Amino acid sequence: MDRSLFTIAAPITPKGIGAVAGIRISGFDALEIILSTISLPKEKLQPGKLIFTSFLQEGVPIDEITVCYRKAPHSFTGEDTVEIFCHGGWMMVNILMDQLLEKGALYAQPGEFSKRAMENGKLDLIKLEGIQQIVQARTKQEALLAGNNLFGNFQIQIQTISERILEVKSFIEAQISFPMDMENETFPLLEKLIHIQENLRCLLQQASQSDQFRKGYQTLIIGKPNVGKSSLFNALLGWDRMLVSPYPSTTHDYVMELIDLHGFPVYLVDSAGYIENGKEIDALFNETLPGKVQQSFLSLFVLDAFSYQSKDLELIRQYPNARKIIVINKVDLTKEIPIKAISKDFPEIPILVVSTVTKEGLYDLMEEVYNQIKLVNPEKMDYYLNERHHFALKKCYENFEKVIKNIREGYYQDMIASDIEMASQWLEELLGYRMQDAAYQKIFDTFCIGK
Amino acid sequence: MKPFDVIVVGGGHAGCEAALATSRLGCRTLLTSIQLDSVAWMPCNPAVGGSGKSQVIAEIDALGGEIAINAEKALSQIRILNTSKGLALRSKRVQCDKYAYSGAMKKTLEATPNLTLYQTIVQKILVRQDTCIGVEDIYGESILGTVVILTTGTFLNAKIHVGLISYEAGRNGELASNDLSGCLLSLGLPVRRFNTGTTPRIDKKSIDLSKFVIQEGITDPIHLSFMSPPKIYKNQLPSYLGWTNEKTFETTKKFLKYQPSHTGNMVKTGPRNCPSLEEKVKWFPDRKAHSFFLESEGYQTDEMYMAGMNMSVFPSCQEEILNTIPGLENVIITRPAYAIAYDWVDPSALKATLESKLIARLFLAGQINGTTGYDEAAAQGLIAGINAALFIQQKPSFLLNRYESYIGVMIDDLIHKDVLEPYRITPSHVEYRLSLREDNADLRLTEKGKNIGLVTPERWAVYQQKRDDIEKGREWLNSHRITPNKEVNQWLQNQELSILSQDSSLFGLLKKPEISFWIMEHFYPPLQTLNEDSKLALEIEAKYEGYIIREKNEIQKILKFDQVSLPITLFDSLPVSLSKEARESLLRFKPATMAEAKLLSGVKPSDVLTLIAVLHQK
Repeated sequence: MDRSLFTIAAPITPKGIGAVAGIRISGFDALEIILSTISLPKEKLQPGKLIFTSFLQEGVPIDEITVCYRKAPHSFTGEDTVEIFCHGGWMMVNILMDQLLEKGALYAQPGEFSKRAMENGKLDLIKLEGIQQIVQARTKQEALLAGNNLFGNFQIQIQTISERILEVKSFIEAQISFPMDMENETFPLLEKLIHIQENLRCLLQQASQSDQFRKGYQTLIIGKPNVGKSSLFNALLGWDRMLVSPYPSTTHDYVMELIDLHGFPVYLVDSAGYIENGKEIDALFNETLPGKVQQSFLSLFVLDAFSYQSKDLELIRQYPNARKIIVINKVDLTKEIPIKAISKDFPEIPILVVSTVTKEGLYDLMEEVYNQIKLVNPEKMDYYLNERHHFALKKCYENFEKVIKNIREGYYQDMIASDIEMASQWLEELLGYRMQDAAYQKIFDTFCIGK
Repeated sequence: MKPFDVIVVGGGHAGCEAALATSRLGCRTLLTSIQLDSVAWMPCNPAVGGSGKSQVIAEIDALGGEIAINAEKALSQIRILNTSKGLALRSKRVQCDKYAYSGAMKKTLEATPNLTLYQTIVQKILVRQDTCIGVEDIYGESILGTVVILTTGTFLNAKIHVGLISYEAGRNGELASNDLSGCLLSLGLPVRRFNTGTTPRIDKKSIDLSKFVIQEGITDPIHLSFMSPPKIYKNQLPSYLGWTNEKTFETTKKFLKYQPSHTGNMVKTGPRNCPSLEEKVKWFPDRKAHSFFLESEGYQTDEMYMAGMNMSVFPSCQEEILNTIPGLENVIITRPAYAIAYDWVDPSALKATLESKLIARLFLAGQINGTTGYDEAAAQGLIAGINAALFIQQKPSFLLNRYESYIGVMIDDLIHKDVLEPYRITPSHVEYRLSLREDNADLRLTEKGKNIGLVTPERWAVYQQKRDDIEKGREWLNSHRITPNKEVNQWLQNQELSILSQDSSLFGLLKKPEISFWIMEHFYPPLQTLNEDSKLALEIEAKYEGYIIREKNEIQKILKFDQVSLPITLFDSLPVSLSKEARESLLRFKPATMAEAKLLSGVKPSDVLTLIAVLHQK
């Protein structure tokens, strides 16, 4: 069955209790289907107007709804589209959907509205991905970044690079295809290529930042038993997520919660206390710890100011390569804080003193976590790129690197042309169309050909 | 006249190749021409070859066609283009004595068994039940033929424009063929209109050649046809490079009002790769100087062609424009430049064999299909001729794809892409151009030509010799190693080459850009016994190995897709993003494989990609 010939319908608001719920109907018969279920004549349903009416089941009104009709191609999918808003709650939505399916609509598959929008040229891949990122955004910052993609900022940047590549390609093609016309033309090929390379490098930088942003900034709290890791976790979270007690080893597992830290998604992870030569369960935990530290963006090593011994620092020494902050807890219990001794051993690691009881130092700790995030995000993020973008950009960059290297090593121009073609295929991957024809067409706008 | 197997209408470059192919393949063939004195005429540039075109010529030659052999007979200058850009895109360009070229071809046609020449004007295609059965000429006589090949060039409904004056003519001073175009239209063929033009011819004696940069042909041993042993061409005619200037620009601008396309007398679609001087002035207002070449039209004439100086204004204006150029102050124009508008038939209505989809047994080849250039025309003539003969012999058709030949690229482009301006083949059209080269056209195609029956025993022997030489050479280069000892490095240093640091096979050494084949011969003298063509082939094989393998892999991937079978369930849910035309064709014919789907009308390359993506998902 060719689904594209059918009209599709599906709820567009989440399952749950709310004031209003929405259903979208899209396709050739959308208007006819809705007219058969409401008490309005066709003329009343003007495109783009919100109309209040009743939804009928076998001629009997069953709910008050507002209807919005959008005429093709001026709709999200590019097809005739009707959106209905009925009273919320899942039951009424189900009843309405049953009616629509009975009148001939098909239940839309996940993503089918977007798919149709793409096929009708209303959405490009980058915009579609942008919408997905907005829907799934965890922090305000993320939603705003993803919103950028919607307005095509990334697309424009890619277009700019592709135009530069086109310029290079059309020069090379003109030289190869019309050698007699091009004998006296000059072109700063290497310079142009290095410029393209630089553009790609900037985008790649953004792509790495986006990767980290998408993954979130996992911040692991580790330390010996009873130093107050779970208390710190709760205090940073702002609510009592973990059970805490005066007894050691109250926590036995990793527990993760999301914090919005100035727009950055920080995943705070609490862990069990680290005991050397402990019980079987402690050994089990110890095995998983190195992996956990490695995959975390940052580790908070918690020390107890009250019971501090210099051998407590052993655990820190086990992870020389991890990004870390040393947190000295329970400063409310003692005046003798071993900060000098510790900083002598670890001069590069920030050390913060806190009390989860008096809350002192907690704000500074979060600011330090934020500092660590800023260190890997030195530039403002203008685009929010996904793995697909990152991969294609990386391939494109590597290939242009090779092009430049080959030119410097004196490779022939026919080989260089082939290398450039390879490299630009990765950009075409992002753009969604081939450039070769365009390069040939551009020759005649740029160079005077004709002997 | 008794019925013929094949009637070829038109004696230009397409018509000659078509008629030679069919008659050599044993078909009784008639070649009709409006003017038998000017078969294989070069009405524009007296030259064949050039970038992209020389690859086509080599392919025609490899299959057993005539153009390369004929051009050698009339050669007046030979050059190699693109030498500075590597080894893979080198292209020969041959200037010809246009009278000798035509004369030599006429002689070949006359000497070919099964071939009859006849001067007449064909006015009608005779069609019964959508099948072509012959032609009717200006005398109202019918000539019957099993197959008809139309190669009418620019003659269909042709009109020459000079300034504000226009008259009907197929070429300078020759009759046009007006009724035929109407006949094609009434048969339902998609007739369209293009225009093109040529340059003035000027008298050499009236030119101060000292004001130009002389350009000589090359004097190393060389050949155009694979059949001919390389030889030194003596007594070549030089060409001369000159430049227009600001005065030329201003004068041309002054006369723009007399340009036919400006006054609306002509259609606007001419070839962008061959603009007239008037168009150059309009399109590139900031560029005051354009280069052009003066080229001899032959040994027996003083007339010179002016490559790059197409015009269509009044002859007196042409003279005034030329007078602005140093060296042409007293120039005598022997034949004014003109623009010509002509009918052509949209090739999207052709099969890949160049047979019409609408009228069976009617083939179209050459400029009638919207192309430009002798080389492009000749290639189509050959393909149409071969397929006409194969049809008569009831054998399967002969198709070339775009992964094995420039000719395949051209025909694929013609029947699948919109022809918006006169089509010229260039390397830019060819995706796998490092593999599809001038030097290896015989290695790619001669065996196919032999299977068709166009390759003579002599050609086959030359081909086998080259193939064996390459194999022998490859074996030698791979098995002989050189060690970086003092003697070797000293010698390399004396040649100003970088020294060796590690042991390498000769083949490995040849990979380096700065190492030429003669260095191989120094290290292993038996290599000198190989013929020159195989040396070039081996050098390219070494230097381009990585690139050629990459192209080969890509081609294999594409050809594998051709084998992909299309499950019948696919037609129940065709992807939405297919074009409407593709969807209709696919639903109507339900092709079994991707290769069959590609051949359907309306199925564009983008549709094929969509199908591949959908099948890949499943």
